[in-house]
Amino acid sequence: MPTQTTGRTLLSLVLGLLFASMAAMGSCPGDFHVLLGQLQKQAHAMQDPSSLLDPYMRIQGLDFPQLREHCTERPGTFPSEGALRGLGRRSFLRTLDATLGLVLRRLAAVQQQLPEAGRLGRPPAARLRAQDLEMLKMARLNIHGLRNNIFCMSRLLGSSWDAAEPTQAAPGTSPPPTPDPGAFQRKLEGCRFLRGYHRVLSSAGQVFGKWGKSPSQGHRHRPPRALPEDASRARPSRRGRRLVPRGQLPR
Amino acid sequence: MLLRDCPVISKRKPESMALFAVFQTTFLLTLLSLRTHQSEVLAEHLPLTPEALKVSVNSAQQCLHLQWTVHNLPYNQEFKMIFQIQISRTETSNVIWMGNYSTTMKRNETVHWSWESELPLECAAHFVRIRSVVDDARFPEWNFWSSWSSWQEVNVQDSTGQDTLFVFPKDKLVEEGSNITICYISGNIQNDISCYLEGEQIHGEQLDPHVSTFKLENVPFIRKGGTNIYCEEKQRKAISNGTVLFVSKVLEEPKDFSCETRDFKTLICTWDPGANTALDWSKQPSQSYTLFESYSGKKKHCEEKNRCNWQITQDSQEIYNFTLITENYLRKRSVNLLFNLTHRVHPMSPFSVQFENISATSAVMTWKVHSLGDYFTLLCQVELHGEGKMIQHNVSVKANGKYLLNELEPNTEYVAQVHCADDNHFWKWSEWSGRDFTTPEAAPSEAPDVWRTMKSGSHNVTLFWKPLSKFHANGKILFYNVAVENLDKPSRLEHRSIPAPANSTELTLDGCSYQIRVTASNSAGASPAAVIVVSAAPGNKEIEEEIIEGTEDGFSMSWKPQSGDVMGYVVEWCDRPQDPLCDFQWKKLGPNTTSTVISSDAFRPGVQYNFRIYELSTKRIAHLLERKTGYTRELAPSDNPHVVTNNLTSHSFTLSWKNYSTKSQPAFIRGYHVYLKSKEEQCQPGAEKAVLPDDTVCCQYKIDNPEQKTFTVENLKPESFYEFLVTPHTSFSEGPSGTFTKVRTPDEYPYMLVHVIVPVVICVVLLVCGCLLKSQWMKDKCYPDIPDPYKSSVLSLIKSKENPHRTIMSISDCIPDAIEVVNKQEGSKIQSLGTRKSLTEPELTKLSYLYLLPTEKNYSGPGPCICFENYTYNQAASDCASCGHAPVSPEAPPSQWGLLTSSENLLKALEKNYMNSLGEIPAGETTLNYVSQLASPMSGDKDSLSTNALVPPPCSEYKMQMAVPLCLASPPPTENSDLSSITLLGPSEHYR
Repeated sequence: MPTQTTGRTLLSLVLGLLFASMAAMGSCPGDFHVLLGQLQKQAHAMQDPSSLLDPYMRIQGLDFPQLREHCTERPGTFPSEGALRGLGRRSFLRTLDATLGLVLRRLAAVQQQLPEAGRLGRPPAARLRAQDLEMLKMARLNIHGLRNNIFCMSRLLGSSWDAAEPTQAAPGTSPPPTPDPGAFQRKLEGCRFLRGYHRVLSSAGQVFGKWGKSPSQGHRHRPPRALPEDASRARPSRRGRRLVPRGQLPR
Repeated sequence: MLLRDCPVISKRKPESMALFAVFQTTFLLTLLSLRTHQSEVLAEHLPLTPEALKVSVNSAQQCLHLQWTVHNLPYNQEFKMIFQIQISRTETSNVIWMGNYSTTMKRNETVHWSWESELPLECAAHFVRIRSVVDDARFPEWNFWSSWSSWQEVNVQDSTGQDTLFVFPKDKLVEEGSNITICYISGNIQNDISCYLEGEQIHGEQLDPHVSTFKLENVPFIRKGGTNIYCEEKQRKAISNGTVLFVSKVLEEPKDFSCETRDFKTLICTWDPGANTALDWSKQPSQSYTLFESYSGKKKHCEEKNRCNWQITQDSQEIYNFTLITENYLRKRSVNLLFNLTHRVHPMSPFSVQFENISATSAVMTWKVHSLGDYFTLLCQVELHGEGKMIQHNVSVKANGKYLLNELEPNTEYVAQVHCADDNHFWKWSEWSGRDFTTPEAAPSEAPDVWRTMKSGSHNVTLFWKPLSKFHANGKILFYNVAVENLDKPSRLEHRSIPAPANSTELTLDGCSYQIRVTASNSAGASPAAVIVVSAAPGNKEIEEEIIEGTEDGFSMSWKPQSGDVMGYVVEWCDRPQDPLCDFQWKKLGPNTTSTVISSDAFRPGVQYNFRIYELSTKRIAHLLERKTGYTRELAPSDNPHVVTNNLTSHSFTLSWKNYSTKSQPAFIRGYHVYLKSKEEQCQPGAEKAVLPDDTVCCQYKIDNPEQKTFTVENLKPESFYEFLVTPHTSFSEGPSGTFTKVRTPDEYPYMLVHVIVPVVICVVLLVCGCLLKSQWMKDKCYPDIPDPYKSSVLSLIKSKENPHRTIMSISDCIPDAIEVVNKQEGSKIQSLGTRKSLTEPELTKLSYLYLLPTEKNYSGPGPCICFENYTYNQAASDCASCGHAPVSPEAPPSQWGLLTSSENLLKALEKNYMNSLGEIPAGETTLNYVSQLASPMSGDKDSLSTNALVPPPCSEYKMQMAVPLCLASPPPTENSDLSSITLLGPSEHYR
């Protein structure tokens, strides 16, 4: 628990700083549809495995048919599309933000394990590796961008992000110590994690698409106010239950 | 099996030497007395078997660490011993390795030993046992093998579940090129398991029902992330497990290791590190580099992978012995470098580079250097770059450098730079320091190259000059001065200034000789003058043009000098002769030159170039010497002439292509080929058979004179089709295979007819015209107008008669001029008719005719007679046909006969109509019926002739007039009626 508390605090601090900086910059679009369009485009672009999973698999040497077949999302790592659809908008945004935060941290951990190409003696391989590493960096930037827009959408919906309940998947949450499964299993787990990441972004895109079709939500920017959670869409049994990613990208 | 990588450690326990010293003598004396007996006892009873054997495992290094002791060594002294070790795999009987280990030990001392397995220790259980022997010459009686220790089992992976599968070794770090064995352990022996290395299936051997091993030899480096080896169970179709083999590149020895100083404060050591051996997942960081200096004993860990700075202390150390050590987890390498510090001086770059006293041809360059001390002299190298050239100068410098740059070109941008090195012990040049400068302009050093063209027949001279080269211009040419001086009579010099970059000017001169001087000027002055003389008598004589052969490299030409007093020669031409401006060019040659090669980048194949060679006299007057023309390469003509066909007859036609210009062709036209296609198999004389590119055969006529631009194809057949093509030919090819033009020769008969009929028609027309012109005369002569009966005085008599409808002329009413009543016998009539008897009825009614004979005085000869019908005589009107002016003579022309014959038929028809008309039309309804007739002697009625023997008047023609009622004007459309109707139209329509 102390670890979780520390993680939550840290997440709140990070998000708070991020939101404060964004608010200071005043860079949030004021139009709901504009912002929603951006979110949809971002989700659509980032659901493409070529933006992250494929470079990761190439770097790790997993881009072989036998391995591709088995690089499937581990159930329960990320919330399903149905679960996301069942969430209220603010909960959905929080969940998505938490998911992306987790992915960011895992990506950072992975990148730390990957030294730069350097002189490897085989220029084509070194170039390819450098390109893939660059794509990983870009993926991280894209995730940051998406999170910024999630923040803006949250504000547009009148949600006070600071008051939002911290997600359960707080950073720094460490699973109980287990025997080292070995680099191969860690590679494979990372692959499955990223597969789930792309899937959850695809699901998020679907959810955002539903938002666009809902006429009652197509309002202009209003001053931030605490909109009531879309209680009618949240099942009572799920009230208070937060869907957060549970999976961990192997360190 | 590898021993070197597993640390082998042997240790001895400390003994209490003091205790040993006290009791040593006592025991030795006792033991010596019982020596032999004791030996036998030791051999039989003292167990020297290694005891307390312990085996530990290092899975990562695949090492077994063994430790044991021998408790029963008799004396507390060192024994030299040999231990024999057996290692079995899977089961004790499967000994995979046995070896000896020699060492010295004391009693109760623990011995350590390690063994590296090539198979991961997790793959199978291992068993170890040891026995020993004293290998000491002092105790030969103990030189026998002890018993084996009991087997010690080593089982690393002892928990294999039913559905588990493990692959070993895990994440092993190996060096590129190593051999390695991997294995998998499956809990279920029924599963069909396949293993893959980077997607390629690998095949191994089964160690036992649960374990298979795979030997990989010479493993390559694939990626920093490691080489993936994974196994899958066919039944489950799932990746069961895998491992990553982290293959490191072989650590390279640093190359080009070198140290130097720039300021005697720091030594900078650099090297080429080679490949980075870092691996992902923190399996191996980049190799580290450490610098160690042996004289000072100092060591420094280098932060960077290719350089390291070493601080020079002030203890005047001159000699340095560096060792650069690089290492990673697998290997360690080092290189040495021994040097004298003063020999590794790399001076810093000079600074404050300046230029002083810059003139058109010289400048002074100064610079400063960083001082290295009073005892150091620097060698500085000055480089001057300009105009694509580079000049180097060396200068020795203590502190400040200075150098005079001379032989510079005016108006030229130069870059001067300097670098320095230790003059005493050259090590390295410093970096360059430099600046650029530009020399000022100077007056042009050479006269412009001037030439002229003169239009024939006029005094207009176009003066051309070539721009001076940069080398001679010495600056930017601002204008050209042209001075014209009349050589024939004293006059004022005419000056003209033409701004650059013009390269020509036109002068209008009179018939005198002129000297023209041209100079080029820049801001610094004028060039020497180029002088050319335009003679009053240009002496342009007709010189035949000579054909020369050019090549891609140009035109090679030579000429024959005409006079010995020659200043030089000039060859002029146009680079683009087709353009109006033509890009006039010339080349001046010395007096001893009689040949040259004219080349130009503008020369193109297929373009005819004309060259004129002039001889320049010492008076600078040019005389045309020769003319040349040629192509760099002749091309095939691209067009065929436009041919016009003339004089087409049934046997020939003429082809003409006079508009075809031979001068503008891409090659010298040597003539023409006329191709003729026809159905004839044989060619005419002068032609030969030729096969065209489309394999058709035709006749070819050759014309070898390019100026012959007409050709007549003869001996053709009338009414035949021919196809022709005219194409030019050069010395090597001919024009394109164009389209043949078709010609059809006409029929020869119409041609003849034209020659015969046309004159005849013309004659007939002329005759008709003549007749028409003389028609009145003919009319008067042949058929004068019939008098109008209404206008006759006879009418006055008619009105008083009973029947108003019938006009009967009574003889008494007439006032005849002459009346002759003739009663001629039938026989005479027949007789008079002769051969025409058959045309008349055998019995003719008698008719009485009243002949009215003219009384005019001027009437002479047979004239027209008027015969009025007289019903009172009850004679048929047709009998009137018997009246006539004159008998028809048999000598009448055939046409006249024909006419007469027609008249007969006509008259017969008329007779019939007439009679019918009379029978049908009441007399009272007819306003006037009369028949006027020029009686024919053949148309008389026999009877009438017999009763009224009239003498026919000498009338050669007939005329009938009949006035009819309007209702009868359109008779039924019968043949006869047609004829009648035509006949009844009027007097002018007779004999149609």
